[in-house]
Amino acid sequence: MTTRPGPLTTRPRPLIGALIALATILGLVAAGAVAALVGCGPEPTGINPQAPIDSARHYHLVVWDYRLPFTSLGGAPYSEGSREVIDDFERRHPNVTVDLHLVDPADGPAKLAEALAAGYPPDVYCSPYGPPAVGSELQIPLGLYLDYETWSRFDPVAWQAVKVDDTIWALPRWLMLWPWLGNRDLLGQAGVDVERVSRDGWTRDEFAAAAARLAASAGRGSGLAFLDSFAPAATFRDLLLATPAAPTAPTAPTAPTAPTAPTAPAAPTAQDYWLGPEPGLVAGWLEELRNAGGLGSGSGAVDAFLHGKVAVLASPSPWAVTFLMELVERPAPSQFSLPRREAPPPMVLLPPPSGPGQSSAAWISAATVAVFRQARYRGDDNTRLAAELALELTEGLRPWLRSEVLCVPATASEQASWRLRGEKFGEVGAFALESFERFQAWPKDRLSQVLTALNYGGRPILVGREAESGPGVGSAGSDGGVASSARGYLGPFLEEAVAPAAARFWRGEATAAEMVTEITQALWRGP
Amino acid sequence: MEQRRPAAARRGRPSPTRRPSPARRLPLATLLLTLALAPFLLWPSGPPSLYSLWSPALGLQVPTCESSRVLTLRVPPLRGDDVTELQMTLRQLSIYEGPIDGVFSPETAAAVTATRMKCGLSPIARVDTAFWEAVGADWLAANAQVRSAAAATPGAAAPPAPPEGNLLIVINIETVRLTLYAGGYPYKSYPVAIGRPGSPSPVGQWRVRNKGINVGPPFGTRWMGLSVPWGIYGVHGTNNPGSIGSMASGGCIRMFNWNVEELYEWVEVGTPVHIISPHWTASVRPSLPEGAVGLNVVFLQWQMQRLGWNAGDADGRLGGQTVEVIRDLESFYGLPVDGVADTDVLSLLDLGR
Repeated sequence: MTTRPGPLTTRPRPLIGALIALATILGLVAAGAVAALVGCGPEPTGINPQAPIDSARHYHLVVWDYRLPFTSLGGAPYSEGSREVIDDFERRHPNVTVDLHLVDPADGPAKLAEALAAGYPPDVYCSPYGPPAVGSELQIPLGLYLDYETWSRFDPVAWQAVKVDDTIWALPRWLMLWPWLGNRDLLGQAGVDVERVSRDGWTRDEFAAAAARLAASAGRGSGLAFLDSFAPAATFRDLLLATPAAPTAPTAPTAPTAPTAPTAPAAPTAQDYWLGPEPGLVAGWLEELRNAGGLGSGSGAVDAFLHGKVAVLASPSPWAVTFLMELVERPAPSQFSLPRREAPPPMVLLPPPSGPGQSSAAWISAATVAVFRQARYRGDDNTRLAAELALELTEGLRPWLRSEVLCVPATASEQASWRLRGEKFGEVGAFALESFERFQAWPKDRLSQVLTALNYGGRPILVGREAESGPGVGSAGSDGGVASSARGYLGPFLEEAVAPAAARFWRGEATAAEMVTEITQALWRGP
Repeated sequence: MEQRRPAAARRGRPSPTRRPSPARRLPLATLLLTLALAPFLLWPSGPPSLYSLWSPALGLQVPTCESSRVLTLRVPPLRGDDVTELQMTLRQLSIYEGPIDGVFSPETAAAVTATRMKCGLSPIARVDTAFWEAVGADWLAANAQVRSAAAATPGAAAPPAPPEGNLLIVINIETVRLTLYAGGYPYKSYPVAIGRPGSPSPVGQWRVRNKGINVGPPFGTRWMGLSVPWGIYGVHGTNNPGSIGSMASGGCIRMFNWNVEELYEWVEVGTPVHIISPHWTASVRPSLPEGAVGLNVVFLQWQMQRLGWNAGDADGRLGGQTVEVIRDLESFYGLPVDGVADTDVLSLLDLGR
């Protein structure tokens, strides 16, 4: 006979119920602790820029800056400026330790990308190259740390250069002018009024006419080119800078085939230069110049320019300009002798030619100082200290900047002395002053858009609440948002999307239309 | 005959007692003949002395900077830099007045014979270790003041105190002197002999790679090998002290034996040795591939150092660090980043055409 077992309990026993409840509570507590430890806690929904600094707490900040080998004429070494600022900061904040890491120019951006992906970027990131925003939710918008007095210390152009979507994402350390280089003799041979062009700029029509005159005067087989490029992608950007922006929705002239309908919120919009008709116009003009034999091969452009084979060297970096024009002091070699070279050609700084109705302007970029938080948030007080240090690093390079003629100080007071010093650099100083003043006359909203979109790709994408509540300068003191993760280019756009297509075009392997299509597709595709 | 062959042979197996046929003896004979003739095939102008085989015992490579062959009168006559050096030495001893042409002519042979007789050696026209030792002793006896004059520390009868701090050896090809720096300051300077114009001493930034004592007569009493990637070079003593102060070596740095013995005690493996030539004009070929080795690379690295690029030692190897720094330079100047020192990179290093 078998007896069917009865129910274990007919009603819950109080002890077991209590144990289950206790286990649940303990489990929740443990899960919370684990989440906090691995940094999966809730993201900060707002940052208090006035968070009090805890004098009993020890703060540890990490600063990344670049190792710039540049030794300027009588100037202080670059990294020493940062070191001095940090030492001074540590003296005034005894409970703060700052580690300065110098990164190399070639791998700095990649290292930052790795650190962001791992969730542990440096607290402060100084970059001579930008971009102001990197499209990471870990980047701290800095507008909320700026009071009116700080804001007014900086030149408005500098603020525009670090503003993306009306949000200040970085502090402007300095602005850098990117003029083109001209061979004074060859330009004279081409009938160019060099002084006027250097001062007032020129149009693309004038440029093309000069190229034709040089070709005619030199004759066939002379090996002369009117224009060659240091970096074709940057040349394309420089030409777009002085091209009217499309007032209406873009209809790319080359009718890109690959792009699909922009349904995602990250899709570039009508304001984007790269999707309007301008790239097609500029590329078409370059193609005409090439067909007329006015374009160099892009290979060995510096060498060709130094040997009088090219009249205009487009888009050399400012560092290259100061080096080639021998504005940089060379230490005498002690171990060996340098080869005796031909004297370099007489050089002149030029703005790129402009489109109809536009004024010529040399490109301007901003050296930036950005602030990041880490995946495991260390508190608003830590972020506040990082922002304070970032501001001091931004303003603390005066000795170094004083000898850099193409580096425009971002603060108004330093700019005043830079203007005075410009005289000692002669024509170069005068060019720099006039170029910068031209920028100061630009509409601010257009400037901000151009300086970011042209160099770093489509407009940076902010979605949802963060896009709307991203703090601007006027929101200092209020809670700010953080940038959400974004699709789109913010940084390597020129290198990744434009450079391959532009290089192929310059080598004669692609037509203007193909180049524009390729760039457009890359922009839609994203990084 | 066939019936009398052992059973094993009949089964096709070789008999242990069977005598090999003449045809089968041929390879053995060839081998023996080759071994016998090897020295003459490998060294038609005379086999090397036994001391050149020191390297396996010491774990070092055979230096290429000094010739160690025995010179005798031959038809056709021996030629080479070592003969030139011999002629210069004989002329220095006022025994030879013929041309310095690097040809071991009968006139040179006669001077050698005379020198040997003067030094108490057998009167034959043979330049070997014994000859150089005798000539060196003779030269030193005739130039007794050299020893004291060569020392930079005046009145340094007692051994000088060992240098303190990081050591650096700088050899200036143009002043023909070696200076030892300690802690950044010059500590002591020595006269040296450097490479002949046809076999110049390797300029660059090297390190002492190995050390050896009495590795062979041409190298004097001490040897300190350098990390030159395109040959075996070193700082060493000499059995021809009369050559010090001149361009006489095959590229090595020769020192008086007593000088090199002193230096040897202070210098460790890894000590940097910079060989400089302030008037030597740099020449760099564009687009050198990664892994390239040579003076081209030394000058490229030196110039990068000079302009503030941290390319490491100018060690003549276009290795990973140099390529990384070229990439940094390209990135800094906005050039396409490929790590190749092309014409544009060289222009931005003042090394263009």
